[in-house]
Amino acid sequence: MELRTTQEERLFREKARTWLEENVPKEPRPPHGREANDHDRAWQRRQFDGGWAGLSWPKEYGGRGLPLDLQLIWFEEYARAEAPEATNTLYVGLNHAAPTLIASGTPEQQAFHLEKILSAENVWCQGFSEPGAGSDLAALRTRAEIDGDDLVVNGSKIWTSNGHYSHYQELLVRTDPDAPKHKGITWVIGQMDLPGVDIRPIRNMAGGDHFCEVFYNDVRIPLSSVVGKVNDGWRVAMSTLGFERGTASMAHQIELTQFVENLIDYARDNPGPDGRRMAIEDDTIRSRLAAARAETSALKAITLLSISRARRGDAPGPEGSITRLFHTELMQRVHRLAYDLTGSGGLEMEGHRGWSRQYLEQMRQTIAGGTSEIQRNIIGERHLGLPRQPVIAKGA
Amino acid sequence: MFDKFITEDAREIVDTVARALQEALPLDRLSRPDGGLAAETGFWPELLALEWPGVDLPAAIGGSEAGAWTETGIFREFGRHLLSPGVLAVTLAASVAQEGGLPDLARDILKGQVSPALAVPLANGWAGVIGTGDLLLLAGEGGLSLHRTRPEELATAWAFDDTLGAARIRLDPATALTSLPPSAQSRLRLLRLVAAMQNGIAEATLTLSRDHAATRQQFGKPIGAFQAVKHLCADMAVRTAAAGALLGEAALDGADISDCAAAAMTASTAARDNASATIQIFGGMGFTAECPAQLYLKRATLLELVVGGKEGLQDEMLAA
Repeated sequence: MELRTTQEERLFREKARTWLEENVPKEPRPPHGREANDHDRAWQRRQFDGGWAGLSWPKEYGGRGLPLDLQLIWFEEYARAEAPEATNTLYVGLNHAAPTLIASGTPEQQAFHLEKILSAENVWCQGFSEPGAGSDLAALRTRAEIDGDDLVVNGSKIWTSNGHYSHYQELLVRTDPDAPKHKGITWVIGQMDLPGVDIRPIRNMAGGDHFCEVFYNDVRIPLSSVVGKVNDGWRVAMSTLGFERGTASMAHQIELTQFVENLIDYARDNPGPDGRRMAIEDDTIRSRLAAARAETSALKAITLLSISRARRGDAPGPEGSITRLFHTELMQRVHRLAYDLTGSGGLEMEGHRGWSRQYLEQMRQTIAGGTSEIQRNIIGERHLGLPRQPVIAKGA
Repeated sequence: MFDKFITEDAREIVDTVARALQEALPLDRLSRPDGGLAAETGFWPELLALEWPGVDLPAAIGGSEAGAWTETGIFREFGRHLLSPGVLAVTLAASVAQEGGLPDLARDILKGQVSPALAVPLANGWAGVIGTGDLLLLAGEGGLSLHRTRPEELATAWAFDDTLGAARIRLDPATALTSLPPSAQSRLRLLRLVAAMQNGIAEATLTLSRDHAATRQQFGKPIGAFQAVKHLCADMAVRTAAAGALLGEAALDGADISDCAAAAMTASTAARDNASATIQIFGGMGFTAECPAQLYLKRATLLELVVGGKEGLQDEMLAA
């Protein structure tokens, strides 16, 4: 079992705790927009300067190459210190773009980008989904034609989180329209300030404008920005998504565990929605709190399993979809419970420690990065080995 | 989770148990009139001789001290192979007798000289008995207690699960041979072993559903190709994974009442929900007595009774 505490782990925990106590920002993180991004960048920069960024990254790419159990300790201390949520506007750069560049980028791309991602000098966004390519991502149609040393891009992307203040984008484009749909896609580093890029923020249901529609009109991107090979982008992208469904959500899971403990404490000390007794005395609330504690504990245990698998060097497998589905739906249950605990305080968006806003924010979890329905297909087909769904014939 | 961290030695024992059960007590025994408890009790002397029920009990009472992981793994197989909750009674009655200062009784139980049955409290001083026996292990919210009984005191009732039988009896708490509070080590064992059997049920029903969905054809396709059915199976897999994760936590050294209660409650929900989904996926077949899905549902429901009401478990889960 992995739960032995070594001297090294104890020392690491002490150092992490001390550093976090001294450095966690005192002011609350703004809920969204450029202010949130500024806050995230300043906090990331502070972690970078303090040597606490990129704990999992290999040393040759500017990381610390720490074993996963030390990273886990960091996440635990991070949650304990109530540091700003780790899943923030830098998530795509730190958890998607960088692992992809490490896995498939050229030495030049790695040298130019990785440190700037880690230090939050550059913010990244994703350019995968399109108006006509959501769950069916491989149906994407944004076209890129090779012209001399450049790709010339035309089309549009949507649901591009943080697009309006990002510097770079992981962009999937169609380079061979005649090939089978998975075979004609290229993964390219897009620069957001290139001529012909037009970014329009979309207001979301939680009051923020974190995602955007991005239009490309004869945008010229040098071929040297292609990651992997031309027409090999689907493979490159899938390794990124696999990473996301694997260990990258660990920090968030630990925060969720801490959040549930906070809810239990809150329910012990505050009247319930009916105002007649402490919330924890309410049978329904009590039952939901008990379930939430058990489920976060299960989630953590499943994650430990992914860690031991990653340590053996296995790629994240389809069981990552089990973790993700369980995690995202659990988040929604927990935040709905938090909202319900606030009673009529829920009228105010930022009242009650922002729980109302967070409740609304969680609605995205079962949609973004692969809907729950797609996760269930993956579990059914790749984990349980059930037959693929019947292909719907064109024109049917 | 449980499978990843179980030790090699424990896994070997558990695999042996699984093979032996497959041979001696195949599932189709339960569709024969005499295949229920009768077939199973015929196998019990062998079971006791192999020391499985006492696998994690102290050597002083005849146990083999092979550890919680082995015991947990074996009881998961018991759940998968639809052994009666009576098998739980043997281990727990011995555990309660030992913890309650009755080592001689504990030894007799493990030797098979006393046959314990499980009982749960009903209203008005009655207890409901699953199976038959001359010793009752009463498992309720108040804790665990042992009671002598004579077969003639048992009033046969119409059984929820007719492969097990059911009876009721009047039990006077004052006549208990020994009583343990809910915080007793034996209760932690009860919660963990129920969680293990429920995990076995959750896994078995997932496999049944998966195999049926992959082979049963409608509209010219295996029904598992349709999302409506595939997603039921995916949800079963998620529930099973969560229950398995908590079972692993409960089997760790130092697991407390909160860990064990969480494991029992999560596994019970997973077992019942998976069994219900299996009945649905099997369609008309699922509603027949012939289909094992209904037995898994009934066993999961009875096992849930044994760990006491949901409220009690929730209190334990929120403790500390």
